[in-house]
Amino acid sequence: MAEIRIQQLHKAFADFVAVKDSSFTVNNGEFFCLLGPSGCGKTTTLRMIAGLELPTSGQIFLGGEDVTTRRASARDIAFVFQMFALYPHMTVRQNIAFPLVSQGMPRAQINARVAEAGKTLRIEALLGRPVSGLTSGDRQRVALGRAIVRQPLAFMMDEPLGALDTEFRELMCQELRSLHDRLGATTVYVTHDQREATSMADKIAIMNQGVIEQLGAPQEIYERPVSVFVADFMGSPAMNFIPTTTAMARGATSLAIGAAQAGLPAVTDAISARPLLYGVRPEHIRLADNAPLRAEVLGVEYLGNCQVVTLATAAGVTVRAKVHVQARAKRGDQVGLVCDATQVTLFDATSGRAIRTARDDTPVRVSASRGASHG
Amino acid sequence: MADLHIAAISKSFGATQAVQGLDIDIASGEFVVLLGPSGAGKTTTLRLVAGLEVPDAGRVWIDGRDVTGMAPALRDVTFVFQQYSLYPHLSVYDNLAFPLRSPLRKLSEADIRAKVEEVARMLRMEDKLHNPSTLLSGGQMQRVAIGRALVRSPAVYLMDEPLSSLDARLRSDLRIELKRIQQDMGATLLYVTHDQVEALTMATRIGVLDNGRLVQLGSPQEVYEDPNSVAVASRLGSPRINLIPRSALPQLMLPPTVTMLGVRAEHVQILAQDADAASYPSARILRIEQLSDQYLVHLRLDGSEHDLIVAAPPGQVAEPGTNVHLKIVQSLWFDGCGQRVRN
Repeated sequence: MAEIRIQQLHKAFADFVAVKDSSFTVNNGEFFCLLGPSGCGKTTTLRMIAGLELPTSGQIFLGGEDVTTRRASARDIAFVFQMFALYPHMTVRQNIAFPLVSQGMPRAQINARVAEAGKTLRIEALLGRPVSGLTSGDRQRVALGRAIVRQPLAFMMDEPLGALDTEFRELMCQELRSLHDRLGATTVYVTHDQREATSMADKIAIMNQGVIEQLGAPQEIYERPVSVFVADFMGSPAMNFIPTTTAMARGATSLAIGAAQAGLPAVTDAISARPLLYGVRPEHIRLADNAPLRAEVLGVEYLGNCQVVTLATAAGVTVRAKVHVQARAKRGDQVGLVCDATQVTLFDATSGRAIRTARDDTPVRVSASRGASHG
Repeated sequence: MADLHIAAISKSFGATQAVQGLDIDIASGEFVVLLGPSGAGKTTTLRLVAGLEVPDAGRVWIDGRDVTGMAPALRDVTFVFQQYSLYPHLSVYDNLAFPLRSPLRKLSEADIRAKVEEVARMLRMEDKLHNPSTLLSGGQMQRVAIGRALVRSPAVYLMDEPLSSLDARLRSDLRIELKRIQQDMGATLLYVTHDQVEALTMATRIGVLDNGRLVQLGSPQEVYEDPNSVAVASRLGSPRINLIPRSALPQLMLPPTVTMLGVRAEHVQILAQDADAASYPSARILRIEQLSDQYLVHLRLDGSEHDLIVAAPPGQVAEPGTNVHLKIVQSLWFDGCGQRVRN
């Protein structure tokens, strides 16, 4: 297993810059997610690490060794794609053994490795079966088996769950993470699905137009987004952004939204009059009859363990609030909104960057270790 | 708008019984969602109502008329498919107007214009009416496809996973819009999906299908909180309900017929290990999934191989490896056949 260090990595395809001078380190044993919308450069980054694409400039270190110009096959990395191609005429065992057979490994050793992979993935019973009759979940496991049997330095995964339906994806996320906890292998995982990333990753790099906008633990990115892009991308339903234009004194703890005042953590520096976005997550909004920030209920969505209420403020801004199942709201109701001032993020609407507040001085409540002991 | 009555309808394809003796009464203005995994018979039911399949037995009534033997075109229903099919050479306006220009209806262009504009307003697409349909985004195309169904004001709307090809954000926007439009029009809608979120959020009533049979029909609250069976309980809710064999929880006093407990993630409290908590089942924290606004704590019950997932507010959870006690606040009981045992 190994650390992956990326320095000033840059990739241009003719006039199009896919990845702009990105630098980051994936620690040994870490589950690292590259997250972002399509075209943000995440897959290109992954392909450069794997050696499937050569960088325009920059360096890639794998386990301390510079592998920037080394061929993919010489990098000791296993790649898992979205469309897992299994050999349909072979059994599960033959499929998993394939990479080892082509390396010319002795038969006894292959058998031992395949048995071990089968055990890790809990598919021992399937080893003798042809792959053609397998369910999509088992096919996915076999594809993973083919990657882990090589015992590579690191795993690269490019949206391996992208083709699955929602329910099954949740289940496979659990499985992949627990597999990671057992193997403790350095993993770089590409996805556009923020839920997949938050549920599995130790660390997330969120990319936008070839640039890493923010890098950190999932909870850190969720709670302390550096930009509107990041705040909007993480979380479902998405963060609400209520526009307002005002100046703020240093230490101010509220601002005007229409006729109402809304609270926020004390702003660190004075800001001149400018367009701002008051960013508040749906779970930090409460409905209250008498609150001065008024809104009309457009719709209520029952989700079993909570309700999502969609509202329009007097200024026509759509706001979503995640409330208790017992809360009573129905379409057409006029209600007041109360935002949890301690959880608000303020953004400069023009630059899209977060404005520093007292909240940035308090630590993020991140659990020290996410998984059970590795290995 | 009209009511829809499906009586004891059955359909098989070769040896496969796709739909078995299905009964549903849908009142005028109701939004009924048929929920089930693929192969449960949802789409076949929809196609039977539309007249695209002929039932082996049973009858379909629309607005008090027996339409069982009637051709699809005469049933006064519209069908929206998963894959939106717009006429690429036509503008949004002409796509929406298309069903109204059918030779079967003799509407004047002025009437057509009024109707199309009304629907465009409802879809919030007034400013896009003269765009070529090929220049629309996926979400806009699907809205036009839904709009094309709406202009006709049929007796019943039938929709087969109309949102499933869209991305997550668009889907959540269109859910609200579709529900709003349906309420505004007082439309009767039969909607098929495998997505439990769509069912919970939009339906007046949900019909859960399993192997061609309707296993439960009720409001979203009823189906989520008071399921009849393990199949229904595990079809609704995310994370999925924890199913724990009784043997893994020997301390609980339960009726003798109960073999399985269903416990939702939000119905368990994690207690620190101290004397007060000692009578509750003990477990070890395996890992903590830090989802955006909540933590999902994965635990293994002591003395068994059974894992469960418990939702906890962020910041209040011990580290993995910690031993804790679990207070089960609410649970559902099931017998050996997976049927609910009510207390």
